[in-house]
Amino acid sequence: MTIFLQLVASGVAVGMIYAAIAFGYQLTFATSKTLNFGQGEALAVGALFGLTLVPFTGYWLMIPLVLVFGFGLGAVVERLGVRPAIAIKSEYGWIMATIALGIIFKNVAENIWGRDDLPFPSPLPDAPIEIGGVRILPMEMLIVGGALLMMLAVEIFNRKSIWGKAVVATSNDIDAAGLMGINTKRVITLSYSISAMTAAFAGVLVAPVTLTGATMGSVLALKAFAVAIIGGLESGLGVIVGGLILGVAETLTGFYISTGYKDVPGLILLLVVLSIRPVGLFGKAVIKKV
Amino acid sequence: MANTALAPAAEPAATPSLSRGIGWVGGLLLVAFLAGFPHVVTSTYYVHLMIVIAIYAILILGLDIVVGYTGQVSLGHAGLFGIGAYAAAALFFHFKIGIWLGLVAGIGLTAAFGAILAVPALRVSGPYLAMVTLAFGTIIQIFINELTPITNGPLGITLPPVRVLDFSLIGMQAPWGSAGRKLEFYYLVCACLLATIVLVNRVVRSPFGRAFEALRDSPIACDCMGVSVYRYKVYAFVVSAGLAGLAGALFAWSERYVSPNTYSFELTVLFLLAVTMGGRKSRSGPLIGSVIIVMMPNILADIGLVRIMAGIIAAAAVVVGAQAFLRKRENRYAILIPVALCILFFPATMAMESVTDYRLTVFGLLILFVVYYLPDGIVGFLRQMIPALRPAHTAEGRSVAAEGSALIAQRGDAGAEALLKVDQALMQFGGLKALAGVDLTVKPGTIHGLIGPNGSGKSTMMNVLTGIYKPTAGTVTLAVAGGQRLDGRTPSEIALAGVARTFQNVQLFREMTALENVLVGLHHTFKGTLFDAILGTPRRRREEREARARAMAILDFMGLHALAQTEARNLPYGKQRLLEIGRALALDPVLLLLDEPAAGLTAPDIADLVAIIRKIRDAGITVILIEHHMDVVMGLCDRVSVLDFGHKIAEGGAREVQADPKVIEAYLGAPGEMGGTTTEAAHA
Repeated sequence: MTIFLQLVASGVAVGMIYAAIAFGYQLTFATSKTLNFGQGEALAVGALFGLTLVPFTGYWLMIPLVLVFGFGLGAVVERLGVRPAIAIKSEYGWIMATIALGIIFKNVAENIWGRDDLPFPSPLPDAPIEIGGVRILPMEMLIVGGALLMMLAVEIFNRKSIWGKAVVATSNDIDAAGLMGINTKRVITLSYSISAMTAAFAGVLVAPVTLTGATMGSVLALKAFAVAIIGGLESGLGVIVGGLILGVAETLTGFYISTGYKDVPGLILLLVVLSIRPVGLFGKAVIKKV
Repeated sequence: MANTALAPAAEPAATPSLSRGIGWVGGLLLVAFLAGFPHVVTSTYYVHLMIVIAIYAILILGLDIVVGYTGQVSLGHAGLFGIGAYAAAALFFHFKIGIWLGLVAGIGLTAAFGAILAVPALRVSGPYLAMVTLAFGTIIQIFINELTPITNGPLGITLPPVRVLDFSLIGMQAPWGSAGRKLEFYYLVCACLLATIVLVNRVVRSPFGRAFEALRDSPIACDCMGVSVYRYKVYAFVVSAGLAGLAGALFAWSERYVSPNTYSFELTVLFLLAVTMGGRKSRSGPLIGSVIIVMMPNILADIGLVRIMAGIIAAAAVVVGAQAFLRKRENRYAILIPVALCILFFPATMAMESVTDYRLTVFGLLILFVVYYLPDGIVGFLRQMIPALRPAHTAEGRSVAAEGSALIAQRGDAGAEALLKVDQALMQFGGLKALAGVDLTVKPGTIHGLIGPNGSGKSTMMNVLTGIYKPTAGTVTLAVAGGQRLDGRTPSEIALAGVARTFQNVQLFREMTALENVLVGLHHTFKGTLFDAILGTPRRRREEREARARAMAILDFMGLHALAQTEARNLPYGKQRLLEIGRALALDPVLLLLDEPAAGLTAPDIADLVAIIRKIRDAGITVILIEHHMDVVMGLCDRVSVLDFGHKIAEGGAREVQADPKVIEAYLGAPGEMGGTTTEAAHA
């Protein structure tokens, strides 16, 4: 039983990372019905950038700088990859363009930081804290807290600030928002910026417990998509539930079956959910108008 | 007839034969080139490179079916390629079985996986499908790594030199000596490539290929033409996967080594780049794309060559940029960015010692360039420049004579009181009742009008009748074959039962010609299987001939004869509406639903339309007409039902309904309201 609880506890931390990335998918999908297929690379590049800063700034001061970096990266992706494709209404265009940008980021990162995975210094002590027989790393608690805080901050931004309200308005009806004088193009750029910022932040959160490298994000991003699907691409906090389900399912698979297969349940879940209920477990079916 | 407007229509009569000829010449040149290559260039390195190009081309031709024809993004083709390779390699590893059975196993196993992949892919499209296929590819890679007993895990499997033909079995020497024996595999790959080209050509020109294109351009219309989107997506994936499997099995034997990391995400993206860059929906495009992606790493390895090419690109960019800047006033700054990038590329290559490490960056940049500046690929660009290269839309039976009757009325059950009977149809969206228990009875051989203000539920009724919406409650019965329930069945089943429709916002297959649009409607007349299409059997050719003649007869009837070879998107709006009706007639319906056919038409067009609808009714086809033009409704309809807020408020003869106070109220508001709330009345 303790082992089981232990596995659940580690699963929760991983799950929150998925939730944070999936949350980023939701942001851009809401405003523009597009996704950044290079989200994993935004995460990896953010973590590597953070790794370079840590010796100069320390872990805590590095975070705001990484957030700014992620914010800028998202804007670049939107401008180069998404906006031109939206202009010509080409779905194939933005899918391929964001994939291409992701590949470029990954390749450039490999050339700057090398192909080997690097250790990321942990800001918190490595000694686990024991709660009721379950040992939890302080870093895992930071991941859960940080990811929740990030999502909360974005939610508050969306509800309280004028720009956030513009994001919500654009998500509800892009044409009406445009007619009300909202610069929807800029709102889409903003949503990409926040999305990449979330990913970069998730990168520096997860890096101390895993390793840092250019390829660290690919599988994370794909599984986060599974979480976004389970939670529903349109529905707010379903991603947290989705993330927890997947995170726990993974650690259990890793322990009881084989670590080699630990990525499989998420992907299978993605395929199964899409075969049975494409709008996600928490999503609402959209009625197509003819 | 307005000759100026129809001028482009006269041309294609000549061009198809020319471009068909070019296709043959291209094919013969390819055969000659492949046959002669190893005799001119004897270096084993280049022969091997040629083999790899041909293998990739096989896969990319298959990928084009999914990407080009059905318009879906597949990120799983590297996984399928890997399955094919491992099928062949594992057969040898465990059972010492050679290449021939390996090829069969590769094709079969991969095609089966293609069918499995199609299951989640059925329900989704666009980015969802891209992610599904990406997840599939990743799972395959994990399993290849982990299923060590079968795949030998991360170590991979090494194969011996391939033996294509075993002459020792019949106790003789190879007639072409030992030098020739080395080329056996090369010629096997070439034969596979040529066979693939023929196969893809035949499939895409068959009803299957038309169904692929139809489901890309308008999935809803495709279903409503009795062509099940689900089923044809599976066909597309299976054919495409089978070819990927063939390529994979050949690849295993050409590299003589398989390992899990080969079949990665990057390889998938490379395949997609090849398809897009070469040019979708063509045979030459994938060949060009394959040459590019295979040669590119070799070119990038030679820094001197890269610098020369970067110099040429920079010079060309300067010329093009200067020209564009001087000539075009608008958008002159938009072109500056790519021009600047092209120029900057040159000093960048001069500064670098080697670009090999930046191989993927170069591919990424190429993808961006192709997506935005060359969306139709190299072949598409050439086709735009040289009209003779444009595809021959009517590859077979160009000079089709119209034959057979345009209208074949499938009579409903004799003596049936009502052809269509809707009983208490309820359609609820959340709290909104778009149809609140509507009864509707349509008598055979009549034109039944369905009118009402905006938002009254007319189009919802249309969608319930054709199965696009499943009614929350109530029944729909069609009096054919002893009475069939329609509610709860899929759109394509309902279409095949004899209900055809048009759409309020025109839903043509935009990139297909008028003739092909009608041929999709005639899909139900084709009984041939996929094998008929691949083998080009007499049955297949006969069916195609008959369908084309029939399609021309329908176009004649609609007055669209001269526009048969024009792509639907290039037709004037009025003609598009007529073509949609023609396509619906091709289903040989008992019941034709017309959703605002006169919307946006000019007065003369409306007169033509009215005449056509009359002729359709006179031929025995029952019509339900939704229309806002009251003169059209009053002039045509034998009976009219009026809907308002999901309720039927009146029914009867046209004049009778017109005078009904409730109908007047629904359209103009109640007399009492007139004084007080004029805005509300105007709104209604």
